[in-house]
Amino acid sequence: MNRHFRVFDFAIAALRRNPIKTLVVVAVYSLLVGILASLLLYLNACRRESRSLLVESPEIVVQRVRGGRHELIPIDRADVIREIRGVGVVTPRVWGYSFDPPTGATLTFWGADSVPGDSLEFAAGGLDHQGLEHGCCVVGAGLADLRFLGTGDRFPIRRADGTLFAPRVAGVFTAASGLLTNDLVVLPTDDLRRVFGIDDNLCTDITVGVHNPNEVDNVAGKIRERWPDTRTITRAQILRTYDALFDWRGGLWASILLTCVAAFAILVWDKASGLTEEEVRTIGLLKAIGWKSREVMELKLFEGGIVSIFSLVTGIILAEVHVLWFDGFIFDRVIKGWSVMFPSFPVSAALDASTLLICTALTVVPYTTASLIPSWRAAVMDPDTVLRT
Amino acid sequence: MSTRPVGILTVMTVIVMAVEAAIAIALAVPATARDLGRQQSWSANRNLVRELGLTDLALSCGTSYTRHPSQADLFAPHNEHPAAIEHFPAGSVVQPPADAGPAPPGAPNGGTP
Repeated sequence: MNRHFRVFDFAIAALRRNPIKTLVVVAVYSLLVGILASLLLYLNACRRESRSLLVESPEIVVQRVRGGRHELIPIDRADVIREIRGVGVVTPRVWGYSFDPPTGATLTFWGADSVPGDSLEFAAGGLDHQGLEHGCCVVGAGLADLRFLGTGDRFPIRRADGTLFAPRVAGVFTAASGLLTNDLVVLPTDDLRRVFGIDDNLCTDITVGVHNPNEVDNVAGKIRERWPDTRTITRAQILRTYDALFDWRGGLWASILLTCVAAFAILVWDKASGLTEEEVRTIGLLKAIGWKSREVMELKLFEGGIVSIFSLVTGIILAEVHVLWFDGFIFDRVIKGWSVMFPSFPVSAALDASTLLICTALTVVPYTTASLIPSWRAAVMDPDTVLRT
Repeated sequence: MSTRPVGILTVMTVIVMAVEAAIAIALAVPATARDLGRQQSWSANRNLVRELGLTDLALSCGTSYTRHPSQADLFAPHNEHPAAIEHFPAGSVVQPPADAGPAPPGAPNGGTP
Protein backbone atom coordinates (compact mmCIF):
# COMPACT_ATOMS: atom_id res chain seq x y z
CA MET A 1 0.00 0.00 0.00
CA ASN A 2 2.86 2.30 0.99
CA ARG A 3 4.43 1.70 -2.41
CA HIS A 4 1.26 2.95 -4.14
CA PHE A 5 1.31 6.09 -1.98
CA ARG A 6 4.91 6.70 -3.04
CA VAL A 7 3.95 6.37 -6.71
CA PHE A 8 0.98 8.69 -6.10
CA ASP A 9 3.35 11.14 -4.38
CA PHE A 10 5.69 10.98 -7.36
CA ALA A 11 2.76 11.57 -9.75
CA ILE A 12 1.85 14.76 -7.86
CA ALA A 13 5.49 15.90 -8.04
CA ALA A 14 5.52 15.15 -11.79
CA LEU A 15 2.40 17.27 -12.31
CA ARG A 16 3.95 20.08 -10.25
CA ARG A 17 6.96 20.20 -12.51
CA ASN A 18 4.82 21.85 -15.18
CA PRO A 19 2.12 23.70 -13.20
CA ILE A 20 0.90 26.01 -15.98
CA LYS A 21 0.32 23.10 -18.37
CA THR A 22 -1.44 21.09 -15.66
CA LEU A 23 -3.66 24.03 -14.70
CA VAL A 24 -4.61 24.78 -18.31
CA VAL A 25 -5.49 21.13 -18.96
CA VAL A 26 -7.56 20.99 -15.73
CA ALA A 27 -9.35 24.26 -16.62
CA VAL A 28 -10.24 23.19 -20.19
CA TYR A 29 -11.14 19.70 -19.06
CA SER A 30 -13.37 21.00 -16.21
CA LEU A 31 -15.13 23.42 -18.54
CA LEU A 32 -15.88 20.66 -21.04
CA VAL A 33 -17.21 18.33 -18.34
CA GLY A 34 -19.14 21.27 -16.84
CA ILE A 35 -20.90 22.07 -20.14
CA LEU A 36 -21.69 18.44 -20.90
CA ALA A 37 -22.96 17.75 -17.38
CA SER A 38 -25.02 21.00 -17.43
CA LEU A 39 -26.75 19.93 -20.61
CA LEU A 40 -27.49 16.46 -19.26
CA LEU A 41 -28.71 17.77 -15.89
CA TYR A 42 -30.90 20.39 -17.58
CA LEU A 43 -32.43 17.90 -20.02
CA ASN A 44 -33.13 15.45 -17.19
CA ALA A 45 -34.80 18.23 -15.19
CA CYS A 46 -37.01 19.24 -18.16
CA ARG A 47 -37.97 15.64 -18.88
CA ARG A 48 -38.82 15.10 -15.22
CA GLU A 49 -40.89 18.31 -15.16
CA SER A 50 -42.91 17.36 -18.26
CA ARG A 51 -43.43 13.77 -17.12
CA SER A 52 -44.51 14.80 -13.62
CA LEU A 53 -47.19 17.12 -15.06
CA LEU A 54 -48.39 15.34 -18.18
CA VAL A 55 -48.83 12.04 -16.38
CA GLU A 56 -52.28 13.45 -15.57
CA SER A 57 -53.13 14.35 -19.19
CA PRO A 58 -56.14 12.64 -20.81
CA GLU A 59 -55.73 8.93 -21.49
CA ILE A 60 -57.08 9.33 -25.04
CA VAL A 61 -57.77 12.45 -27.10
CA VAL A 62 -60.01 11.86 -30.13
CA GLN A 63 -59.59 14.32 -32.99
CA ARG A 64 -61.37 14.45 -36.32
CA VAL A 65 -59.16 14.96 -39.35
CA ARG A 66 -60.39 15.89 -42.81
CA GLY A 67 -58.09 16.43 -45.76
CA GLY A 68 -55.13 16.30 -43.40
CA ARG A 69 -56.50 19.13 -41.27
CA HIS A 70 -57.91 19.01 -37.78
CA GLU A 71 -61.67 19.53 -37.91
CA LEU A 72 -64.44 20.00 -35.36
CA ILE A 73 -65.95 16.70 -34.24
CA PRO A 74 -69.71 16.04 -33.73
CA ILE A 75 -70.46 16.09 -30.00
CA ASP A 76 -72.83 13.10 -30.25
CA ARG A 77 -69.83 10.83 -30.88
CA ALA A 78 -69.08 11.23 -27.18
CA ASP A 79 -72.28 9.30 -26.36
CA VAL A 80 -71.26 6.42 -28.65
CA ILE A 81 -67.74 6.34 -27.13
CA ARG A 82 -69.28 6.07 -23.64
CA GLU A 83 -70.90 2.78 -24.73
CA ILE A 84 -67.51 1.15 -25.44
CA ARG A 85 -66.67 -1.37 -22.74
CA GLY A 86 -64.04 -0.13 -20.27
CA VAL A 87 -64.48 3.57 -21.07
CA GLY A 88 -64.71 5.97 -18.11
CA VAL A 89 -65.37 9.69 -18.27
CA VAL A 90 -65.81 11.09 -21.80
CA THR A 91 -65.54 14.87 -22.12
CA PRO A 92 -66.13 16.92 -25.27
CA ARG A 93 -63.73 19.89 -25.23
CA VAL A 94 -63.87 23.29 -26.82
CA TRP A 95 -60.58 25.07 -27.28
CA GLY A 96 -58.58 26.83 -29.95
CA TYR A 97 -56.16 29.59 -30.80
CA SER A 98 -56.39 33.28 -31.42
CA PHE A 99 -53.63 35.64 -32.50
CA ASP A 100 -53.16 38.54 -30.11
CA PRO A 101 -51.76 41.50 -32.12
CA PRO A 102 -50.51 43.58 -29.11
CA THR A 103 -48.27 40.77 -27.90
CA GLY A 104 -47.65 39.01 -31.22
CA ALA A 105 -48.45 35.71 -29.52
CA THR A 106 -50.89 32.99 -30.50
CA LEU A 107 -52.99 32.58 -27.37
CA THR A 108 -54.66 29.33 -26.39
CA PHE A 109 -58.33 29.73 -25.46
CA TRP A 110 -59.73 26.95 -23.31
CA GLY A 111 -63.35 26.25 -22.50
CA ALA A 112 -64.01 25.19 -18.91
CA ASP A 113 -66.77 25.84 -16.45
CA SER A 114 -64.53 25.70 -13.40
CA VAL A 115 -60.88 26.14 -12.55
CA PRO A 116 -59.06 24.54 -9.59
CA GLY A 117 -58.77 27.22 -6.90
CA ASP A 118 -55.26 26.23 -5.83
CA SER A 119 -53.92 27.20 -9.26
CA LEU A 120 -55.18 30.76 -9.04
CA GLU A 121 -53.95 33.96 -7.48
CA PHE A 122 -57.02 36.02 -6.69
CA ALA A 123 -56.65 39.69 -5.87
CA ALA A 124 -59.18 41.71 -3.90
CA GLY A 125 -62.57 41.66 -5.60
CA GLY A 126 -61.81 38.46 -7.46
CA LEU A 127 -63.65 35.20 -7.30
CA ASP A 128 -63.34 33.23 -4.11
CA HIS A 129 -64.69 30.04 -5.63
CA GLN A 130 -63.75 27.83 -8.53
CA GLY A 131 -66.79 28.38 -10.74
CA LEU A 132 -66.32 30.46 -13.87
CA GLU A 133 -69.32 32.71 -14.53
CA HIS A 134 -70.56 33.94 -17.89
CA GLY A 135 -68.53 36.97 -19.03
CA CYS A 136 -65.50 36.07 -16.90
CA CYS A 137 -62.13 34.63 -17.81
CA VAL A 138 -58.96 33.41 -16.14
CA VAL A 139 -55.63 34.27 -17.76
CA GLY A 140 -52.08 32.98 -17.45
CA ALA A 141 -49.44 34.95 -15.55
CA GLY A 142 -47.35 35.53 -18.72
CA LEU A 143 -50.29 37.03 -20.61
CA ALA A 144 -51.33 39.09 -17.55
CA ASP A 145 -47.81 40.56 -17.36
CA LEU A 146 -47.58 41.38 -21.06
CA ARG A 147 -51.10 42.90 -21.27
CA PHE A 148 -50.94 44.49 -17.76
CA LEU A 149 -54.04 42.56 -16.74
CA GLY A 150 -55.23 42.18 -13.17
CA THR A 151 -58.31 40.85 -11.51
CA GLY A 152 -61.38 42.86 -12.51
CA ASP A 153 -59.86 44.18 -15.76
CA ARG A 154 -61.49 43.59 -19.12
CA PHE A 155 -59.73 41.50 -21.74
CA PRO A 156 -61.08 42.42 -25.19
CA ILE A 157 -61.42 39.59 -27.69
CA ARG A 158 -62.74 39.76 -31.25
CA ARG A 159 -65.42 37.16 -31.92
CA ALA A 160 -65.65 35.11 -35.13
CA ASP A 161 -68.46 37.39 -36.34
CA GLY A 162 -66.29 40.50 -35.81
CA THR A 163 -68.05 41.78 -32.71
CA LEU A 164 -66.11 42.61 -29.58
CA PHE A 165 -66.34 40.54 -26.41
CA ALA A 166 -64.61 41.80 -23.25
CA PRO A 167 -64.79 39.28 -20.43
CA ARG A 168 -63.79 40.37 -16.93
CA VAL A 169 -60.57 38.84 -15.62
CA ALA A 170 -61.77 36.79 -12.67
CA GLY A 171 -58.35 35.48 -11.76
CA VAL A 172 -54.77 34.99 -12.85
CA PHE A 173 -53.06 31.62 -12.78
CA THR A 174 -50.16 31.30 -10.36
CA ALA A 175 -46.64 31.84 -11.67
CA ALA A 176 -45.86 28.30 -10.46
CA SER A 177 -48.27 26.96 -13.08
CA GLY A 178 -46.65 29.06 -15.84
CA LEU A 179 -45.31 26.01 -17.64
CA LEU A 180 -48.92 25.00 -18.29
CA THR A 181 -50.84 28.25 -18.30
CA ASN A 182 -48.50 31.06 -19.36
CA ASP A 183 -50.47 31.96 -22.51
CA LEU A 184 -53.78 30.37 -21.52
CA VAL A 185 -57.16 32.13 -21.47
CA VAL A 186 -59.88 30.05 -19.83
CA LEU A 187 -63.44 31.05 -20.69
CA PRO A 188 -66.78 29.39 -19.86
CA THR A 189 -67.41 26.83 -22.61
CA ASP A 190 -70.58 28.60 -23.84
CA ASP A 191 -68.75 31.93 -24.08
CA LEU A 192 -65.92 30.31 -25.98
CA ARG A 193 -68.36 28.70 -28.42
CA ARG A 194 -69.67 32.18 -29.23
CA VAL A 195 -66.15 33.61 -29.53
CA PHE A 196 -65.08 30.93 -32.02
CA GLY A 197 -68.51 30.52 -33.65
CA ILE A 198 -68.68 26.81 -32.82
CA ASP A 199 -72.17 25.25 -32.98
CA ASP A 200 -73.55 23.48 -29.93
CA ASN A 201 -73.48 20.12 -31.71
CA LEU A 202 -69.72 20.33 -32.39
CA CYS A 203 -66.60 20.37 -30.23
CA THR A 204 -62.84 20.66 -30.81
CA ASP A 205 -62.01 17.15 -29.64
CA ILE A 206 -63.12 14.52 -27.13
CA THR A 207 -61.10 13.21 -24.18
CA VAL A 208 -61.69 9.63 -23.10
CA GLY A 209 -60.87 8.06 -19.74
CA VAL A 210 -60.22 4.32 -19.61
CA HIS A 211 -60.69 2.27 -16.43
CA ASN A 212 -57.91 -0.23 -17.16
CA PRO A 213 -54.67 1.38 -18.43
CA ASN A 214 -53.85 -1.84 -20.30
CA GLU A 215 -56.97 -1.35 -22.44
CA VAL A 216 -56.11 2.16 -23.69
CA ASP A 217 -54.76 0.94 -27.04
CA ASN A 218 -57.75 -1.36 -27.57
CA VAL A 219 -60.24 1.42 -26.86
CA ALA A 220 -58.32 3.80 -29.17
CA GLY A 221 -58.36 1.13 -31.87
CA LYS A 222 -62.13 0.65 -31.49
CA ILE A 223 -62.69 4.40 -31.82
CA ARG A 224 -60.60 4.61 -35.00
CA GLU A 225 -62.38 1.55 -36.37
CA ARG A 226 -65.79 3.08 -35.67
CA TRP A 227 -64.86 6.45 -37.24
CA PRO A 228 -62.05 6.14 -39.80
CA ASP A 229 -61.77 9.94 -40.02
CA THR A 230 -60.58 10.16 -36.39
CA ARG A 231 -57.10 10.29 -34.97
CA THR A 232 -56.45 9.14 -31.41
CA ILE A 233 -53.63 10.45 -29.23
CA THR A 234 -52.90 8.48 -26.07
CA ARG A 235 -51.22 9.70 -22.89
CA ALA A 236 -48.22 7.48 -23.65
CA GLN A 237 -47.84 9.24 -27.01
CA ILE A 238 -48.03 12.66 -25.35
CA LEU A 239 -45.30 11.68 -22.88
CA ARG A 240 -43.16 10.24 -25.68
CA THR A 241 -43.60 13.44 -27.70
CA TYR A 242 -42.10 15.51 -24.89
CA ASP A 243 -39.27 13.04 -24.29
CA ALA A 244 -38.49 13.22 -28.01
CA LEU A 245 -38.80 17.01 -28.00
CA PHE A 246 -36.27 17.48 -25.21
CA ASP A 247 -33.99 14.83 -26.74
CA TRP A 248 -34.15 16.73 -30.03
CA ARG A 249 -33.30 20.04 -28.38
CA GLY A 250 -30.52 18.40 -26.36
CA GLY A 251 -29.23 16.93 -29.61
CA LEU A 252 -29.12 20.40 -31.16
CA TRP A 253 -27.01 21.66 -28.28
CA ALA A 254 -24.86 18.55 -28.32
CA SER A 255 -24.09 19.16 -32.00
CA ILE A 256 -22.94 22.68 -31.11
CA LEU A 257 -20.84 21.27 -28.29
CA LEU A 258 -19.19 18.90 -30.76
CA THR A 259 -16.68 21.66 -31.51
CA CYS A 260 -15.60 21.63 -27.83
CA VAL A 261 -15.46 17.84 -27.85
CA ALA A 262 -13.42 18.00 -31.08
CA ALA A 263 -10.96 20.44 -29.46
CA PHE A 264 -10.66 18.11 -26.50
CA ALA A 265 -10.16 15.15 -28.85
CA ILE A 266 -7.24 17.03 -30.48
CA LEU A 267 -5.73 17.52 -27.01
CA VAL A 268 -6.13 13.82 -26.28
CA TRP A 269 -4.76 12.86 -29.71
CA ASP A 270 -1.76 15.11 -29.16
CA LYS A 271 -1.15 13.39 -25.85
CA ALA A 272 -1.62 9.90 -27.29
CA SER A 273 0.60 10.50 -30.30
CA GLY A 274 3.74 10.76 -28.22
CA LEU A 275 5.54 11.89 -25.10
CA THR A 276 7.71 14.96 -24.79
CA GLU A 277 11.46 14.50 -24.70
CA GLU A 278 11.49 15.24 -20.98
CA GLU A 279 8.78 12.67 -20.27
CA VAL A 280 10.67 9.98 -22.21
CA ARG A 281 13.89 10.82 -20.33
CA THR A 282 12.05 10.62 -16.99
CA ILE A 283 10.68 7.18 -17.83
CA GLY A 284 14.16 6.04 -18.93
CA LEU A 285 15.70 7.31 -15.68
CA LEU A 286 13.03 5.64 -13.55
CA LYS A 287 13.63 2.35 -15.35
CA ALA A 288 17.39 2.78 -14.96
CA ILE A 289 17.13 3.22 -11.17
CA GLY A 290 15.03 0.09 -10.85
CA TRP A 291 11.39 0.97 -11.48
CA LYS A 292 9.46 -1.80 -13.16
CA SER A 293 7.32 -1.18 -16.27
CA ARG A 294 4.23 -1.83 -14.15
CA GLU A 295 5.26 0.92 -11.72
CA VAL A 296 5.91 3.37 -14.55
CA MET A 297 2.45 2.58 -15.92
CA GLU A 298 0.98 3.04 -12.45
CA LEU A 299 2.66 6.45 -12.25
CA LYS A 300 1.17 7.54 -15.58
CA LEU A 301 -2.23 6.14 -14.57
CA PHE A 302 -2.09 8.22 -11.39
CA GLU A 303 -1.08 11.34 -13.35
CA GLY A 304 -3.97 10.94 -15.80
CA GLY A 305 -6.34 9.86 -13.04
CA ILE A 306 -5.57 12.84 -10.79
CA VAL A 307 -6.13 15.34 -13.62
CA SER A 308 -9.27 13.48 -14.78
CA ILE A 309 -10.95 13.03 -11.41
CA PHE A 310 -10.11 16.59 -10.33
CA SER A 311 -11.54 17.95 -13.60
CA LEU A 312 -14.59 15.66 -13.52
CA VAL A 313 -15.58 16.70 -10.00
CA THR A 314 -14.89 20.40 -10.72
CA GLY A 315 -16.96 20.13 -13.90
CA ILE A 316 -19.85 18.50 -12.03
CA ILE A 317 -19.75 21.29 -9.43
CA LEU A 318 -19.77 23.93 -12.20
CA ALA A 319 -22.75 22.17 -13.81
CA GLU A 320 -24.72 21.96 -10.58
CA VAL A 321 -24.10 25.65 -9.82
CA HIS A 322 -25.07 26.61 -13.39
CA VAL A 323 -28.32 24.65 -13.39
CA LEU A 324 -29.31 25.18 -9.76
CA TRP A 325 -28.42 28.82 -9.15
CA PHE A 326 -28.41 30.25 -12.65
CA ASP A 327 -31.34 28.14 -13.95
CA GLY A 328 -29.22 26.87 -16.83
CA PHE A 329 -29.13 30.29 -18.51
CA ILE A 330 -26.73 29.03 -21.22
CA PHE A 331 -29.20 26.45 -22.50
CA ASP A 332 -32.65 27.56 -21.42
CA ARG A 333 -33.61 29.50 -24.58
CA VAL A 334 -33.02 26.51 -26.81
CA ILE A 335 -34.14 23.75 -24.45
CA LYS A 336 -37.31 25.49 -23.30
CA GLY A 337 -37.98 26.88 -26.76
CA TRP A 338 -38.27 30.20 -28.55
CA SER A 339 -41.41 32.05 -27.56
CA VAL A 340 -43.03 35.48 -27.41
CA MET A 341 -44.14 34.65 -23.88
CA PHE A 342 -41.37 32.76 -22.26
CA PRO A 343 -42.54 30.61 -19.33
CA SER A 344 -40.21 30.68 -16.36
CA PHE A 345 -40.01 27.54 -14.32
CA PRO A 346 -37.33 26.41 -11.91
CA VAL A 347 -35.39 23.27 -12.72
CA SER A 348 -33.66 20.98 -10.26
CA ALA A 349 -30.20 19.64 -10.95
CA ALA A 350 -30.71 16.12 -9.64
CA LEU A 351 -27.37 14.42 -10.14
CA ASP A 352 -27.85 10.83 -11.27
CA ALA A 353 -25.62 7.88 -12.10
CA SER A 354 -26.26 8.12 -15.84
CA THR A 355 -24.98 11.73 -16.01
CA LEU A 356 -21.83 10.74 -14.13
CA LEU A 357 -21.30 7.68 -16.31
CA ILE A 358 -21.78 9.59 -19.59
CA CYS A 359 -19.36 12.36 -18.52
CA THR A 360 -16.82 9.78 -17.36
CA ALA A 361 -17.11 7.76 -20.56
CA LEU A 362 -16.80 10.83 -22.81
CA THR A 363 -13.88 12.50 -21.06
CA VAL A 364 -12.09 10.56 -18.31
CA VAL A 365 -11.71 7.27 -20.17
CA PRO A 366 -10.24 8.77 -23.40
CA TYR A 367 -7.90 11.10 -21.48
CA THR A 368 -6.55 8.44 -19.14
CA THR A 369 -6.17 5.95 -22.00
CA ALA A 370 -4.34 8.59 -24.04
CA SER A 371 -1.95 9.09 -21.12
CA LEU A 372 -1.21 5.38 -20.83
CA ILE A 373 -0.61 4.28 -24.43
CA PRO A 374 2.60 6.33 -25.20
CA SER A 375 3.90 5.70 -21.67
CA TRP A 376 3.48 1.97 -22.16
CA ARG A 377 5.45 2.20 -25.42
CA ALA A 378 8.33 3.94 -23.61
CA ALA A 379 8.10 1.81 -20.46
CA VAL A 380 8.54 -1.53 -22.25
CA MET A 381 11.71 -0.32 -24.00
CA ASP A 382 15.20 -0.89 -22.66
CA PRO A 383 16.21 2.06 -20.37
CA ASP A 384 19.48 2.50 -22.23
CA THR A 385 17.64 2.77 -25.56
CA VAL A 386 15.11 5.19 -24.06
CA LEU A 387 17.86 7.47 -22.65
CA ARG A 388 19.83 7.44 -25.91
CA THR A 389 16.81 8.30 -28.14
CA MET B 1 12.32 3.74 -3.77
CA SER B 2 12.65 6.60 -1.32
CA THR B 3 11.56 6.04 2.27
CA ARG B 4 10.77 9.70 2.93
CA PRO B 5 7.26 10.41 4.25
CA VAL B 6 4.44 11.14 1.82
CA GLY B 7 4.65 14.80 0.77
CA ILE B 8 2.37 17.45 2.21
CA LEU B 9 1.24 18.28 -1.34
CA THR B 10 0.00 14.74 -1.84
CA VAL B 11 -2.00 14.91 1.38
CA MET B 12 -3.34 18.31 0.32
CA THR B 13 -4.34 16.94 -3.11
CA VAL B 14 -6.23 14.05 -1.54
CA ILE B 15 -7.95 16.44 0.88
CA VAL B 16 -8.88 18.88 -1.92
CA MET B 17 -10.31 16.05 -4.04
CA ALA B 18 -12.30 14.73 -1.09
CA VAL B 19 -13.63 18.22 -0.31
CA GLU B 20 -14.58 18.72 -3.98
CA ALA B 21 -16.44 15.40 -4.04
CA ALA B 22 -18.22 16.39 -0.82
CA ILE B 23 -19.22 19.75 -2.36
CA ALA B 24 -20.53 17.98 -5.49
CA ILE B 25 -22.65 15.67 -3.33
CA ALA B 26 -23.73 18.53 -1.05
CA LEU B 27 -24.88 20.56 -4.06
CA ALA B 28 -27.35 17.81 -4.87
CA VAL B 29 -29.05 18.49 -1.51
CA PRO B 30 -30.46 21.94 -2.45
CA ALA B 31 -31.84 20.35 -5.64
CA THR B 32 -33.63 17.73 -3.56
CA ALA B 33 -34.78 20.40 -1.09
CA ARG B 34 -36.09 22.49 -3.99
CA ASP B 35 -37.99 19.47 -5.28
CA LEU B 36 -39.48 18.88 -1.83
CA GLY B 37 -40.47 22.55 -1.59
CA ARG B 38 -42.22 22.31 -4.95
CA GLN B 39 -44.36 19.30 -4.06
CA GLN B 40 -47.33 21.57 -3.35
CA SER B 41 -47.11 23.43 -6.66
CA TRP B 42 -46.54 20.14 -8.53
CA SER B 43 -49.63 18.74 -6.89
CA ALA B 44 -51.65 21.86 -7.82
CA ASN B 45 -50.33 21.72 -11.40
CA ARG B 46 -51.15 18.04 -11.75
CA ASN B 47 -54.64 18.81 -10.50
CA LEU B 48 -54.91 21.57 -13.12
CA VAL B 49 -53.83 19.18 -15.89
CA ARG B 50 -56.41 16.63 -14.70
CA GLU B 51 -59.25 19.15 -14.30
CA LEU B 52 -58.78 21.01 -17.59
CA GLY B 53 -57.49 18.00 -19.55
CA LEU B 54 -54.36 19.84 -20.66
CA THR B 55 -52.09 17.93 -23.02
CA ASP B 56 -49.08 20.19 -23.58
CA LEU B 57 -46.63 22.58 -21.96
CA ALA B 58 -46.82 26.31 -22.75
CA LEU B 59 -43.25 26.41 -24.09
CA SER B 60 -43.64 28.08 -27.50
CA CYS B 61 -46.84 29.98 -28.25
CA GLY B 62 -45.85 31.08 -31.77
CA THR B 63 -48.16 28.70 -33.59
CA SER B 64 -50.44 25.74 -32.96
CA TYR B 65 -47.93 22.98 -33.72
CA THR B 66 -45.28 24.42 -31.42
CA ARG B 67 -47.79 25.20 -28.66
CA HIS B 68 -49.38 21.75 -28.78
CA PRO B 69 -46.79 19.45 -30.42
CA SER B 70 -48.51 16.33 -29.12
CA GLN B 71 -51.78 17.32 -30.86
CA ALA B 72 -50.19 18.33 -34.16
CA ASP B 73 -49.50 16.06 -37.10
CA LEU B 74 -46.44 15.72 -39.29
CA PHE B 75 -47.66 18.08 -42.00
CA ALA B 76 -49.01 20.81 -39.69
CA PRO B 77 -45.90 23.02 -40.14
CA HIS B 78 -46.23 22.78 -43.93
CA ASN B 79 -49.97 23.22 -44.43
CA GLU B 80 -50.08 26.94 -45.12
CA HIS B 81 -49.98 26.48 -48.88
CA PRO B 82 -48.64 23.93 -51.37
CA ALA B 83 -44.84 23.53 -51.06
CA ALA B 84 -44.86 25.72 -47.95
CA ILE B 85 -41.83 25.36 -45.75
CA GLU B 86 -41.89 25.67 -41.99
CA HIS B 87 -41.20 29.27 -41.03
CA PHE B 88 -41.67 29.71 -37.27
CA PRO B 89 -38.42 30.10 -35.32
CA ALA B 90 -39.65 27.73 -32.62
CA GLY B 91 -40.24 25.10 -35.29
CA SER B 92 -36.48 24.59 -35.45
CA VAL B 93 -36.42 23.30 -31.91
CA VAL B 94 -39.72 21.40 -31.87
CA GLN B 95 -39.59 17.89 -33.19
CA PRO B 96 -42.72 16.43 -34.82
CA PRO B 97 -44.77 14.22 -32.49
CA ALA B 98 -43.15 10.85 -31.95
CA ASP B 99 -46.14 8.90 -33.21
CA ALA B 100 -47.43 11.16 -35.97
CA GLY B 101 -47.79 9.83 -39.45
CA PRO B 102 -49.80 7.02 -40.97
CA ALA B 103 -50.25 3.98 -38.77
CA PRO B 104 -48.91 0.77 -40.30
CA PRO B 105 -51.66 -1.75 -41.13
CA GLY B 106 -52.76 -3.55 -38.00
CA ALA B 107 -50.91 -1.22 -35.65
CA PRO B 108 -52.70 -1.02 -32.29
CA ASN B 109 -52.24 2.71 -31.95
CA GLY B 110 -51.46 4.81 -34.92
CA GLY B 111 -51.16 8.44 -35.82
CA THR B 112 -53.07 10.14 -38.57
CA PRO B 113 -55.42 7.85 -40.46
